[in-house]
Amino acid sequence: MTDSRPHALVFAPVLPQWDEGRFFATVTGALEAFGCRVTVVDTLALLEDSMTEVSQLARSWLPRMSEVDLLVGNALGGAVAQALLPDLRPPATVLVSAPTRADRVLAERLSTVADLAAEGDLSRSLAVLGELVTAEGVEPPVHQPVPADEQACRRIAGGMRLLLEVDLTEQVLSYEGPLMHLVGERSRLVTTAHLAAAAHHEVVEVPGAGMRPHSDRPEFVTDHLTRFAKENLTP
Amino acid sequence: MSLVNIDVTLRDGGYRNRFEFDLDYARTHARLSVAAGFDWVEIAYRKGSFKPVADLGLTGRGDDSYIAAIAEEIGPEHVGLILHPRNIDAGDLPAMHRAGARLVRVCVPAGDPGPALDTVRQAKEVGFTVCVNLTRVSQLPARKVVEVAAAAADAGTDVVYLADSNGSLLPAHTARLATLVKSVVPGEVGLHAHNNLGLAMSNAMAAVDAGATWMDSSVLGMGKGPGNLVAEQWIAYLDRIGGDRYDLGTMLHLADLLGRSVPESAPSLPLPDLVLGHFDLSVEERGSIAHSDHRQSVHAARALAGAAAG
Repeated sequence: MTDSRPHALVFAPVLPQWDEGRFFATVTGALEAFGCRVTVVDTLALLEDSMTEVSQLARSWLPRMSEVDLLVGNALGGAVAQALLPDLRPPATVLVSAPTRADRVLAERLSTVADLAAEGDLSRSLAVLGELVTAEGVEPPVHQPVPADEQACRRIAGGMRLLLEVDLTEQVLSYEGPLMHLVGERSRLVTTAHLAAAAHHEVVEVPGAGMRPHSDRPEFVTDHLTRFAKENLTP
Repeated sequence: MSLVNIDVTLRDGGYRNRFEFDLDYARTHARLSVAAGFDWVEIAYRKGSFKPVADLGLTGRGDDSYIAAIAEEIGPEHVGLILHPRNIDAGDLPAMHRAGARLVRVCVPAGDPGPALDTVRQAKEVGFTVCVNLTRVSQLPARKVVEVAAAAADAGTDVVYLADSNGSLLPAHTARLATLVKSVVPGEVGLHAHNNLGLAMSNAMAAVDAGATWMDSSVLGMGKGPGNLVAEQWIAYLDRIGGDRYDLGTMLHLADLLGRSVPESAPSLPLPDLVLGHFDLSVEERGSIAHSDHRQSVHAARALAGAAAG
């Protein structure tokens, strides 16, 4: 028997180790509660050292795409999702802290994280990343040193560097389907300045949230996700 | 209080644009309507309105393919149509059900309810949730309302609707009728309001206070004449008094979309319709009261109403 539930495909952000989607439990839980079948993929699983642009990583994912009713992406995963819009043309799209285009400030901050990882200093890379994902005005958590992990460093450096010169404006503006950007109001990384949206798209600033609005304001994010799903999906 | 809300925009609003909503708009409208919290979307007349009109648009015909398209979009459990029994034949109700409609509303003229009640019986046999709409209810004596409502209940209807086709009801009258019908039928009571006098909201509140549990409204009030109970105001009201299943944001988004997509949806209160509502005259009398001088319109309407009363 075929599964008739709408299929939500989620592209994960840069994670040092794949966590099977736990990072996004707020979002996936809301989508499942709505009636979606949710697949979360490790965006970096297809990363190759030769890749320098998000579009390359997106192209490697394209042949693996099955039918998608809702395309979701977070951070790098959101950039990959945006790069896939012209080919995949999903019925609806949700992007969480997903940069459409980088500016100098964003590129510098991501470079710092990437460079530390490239040098093999995973602890410092994660500590800086921890600060950057914390909302402005909020004390960042203290990061304990972690053991060296070559693979984690490769994922962070390679993943972050794909975003340094990203510009997916054209792909987003030409997307005719419904699209919702969720972005933290107090994010130190991706802000509304890094988004593009057509007139029929939505940009939702999550009050008080940083780069991870799904963690900072889960109820707010869940409300908007549920509303968006009701408006655009048939459970 | 558990209210059942029907969005009648695509059907009643069709009087404004010759029922010419395009399918893409209808799909989106229906989806957003359900997302905003409507239980049912009345998507069309089946085979035409009260008076035959040539070249009816999509939502005046209610074809099977249209029903199927909307049912695919929002699920059959949200799809309803309305019909005048004289417009359909024995094959229509089964075909509508097969296509994906689950609610049918049967317009019942009080003067000759027999054929309509046969339609109600058939609709129940087919498996529909059935509403009976007592049209032009403001012109009916209370005894007649009771008689037809009871007969409709005996025929198996789930809901008896007070259809204020003339937009003439006052809140106290609405409450009396709702109480009356509620006392003689085992099922539910609903209100289909028109806003000729700007009283649709007050009448809706009065009806609910008197026990009505089904309510029609249309986005931007888009409906015949001055339109219906304004959906976004009604949903805002329900949300304000504690309804937890409505999404006002989606509701307003839909209102904005309708306004941008369908120019005929712009709210209006034509003065002749106010006169018709005030004197409890049907829209068919519009020509009889038409006059460039509104004083003459009122005079003519008063004379017509007096003649009817006499």
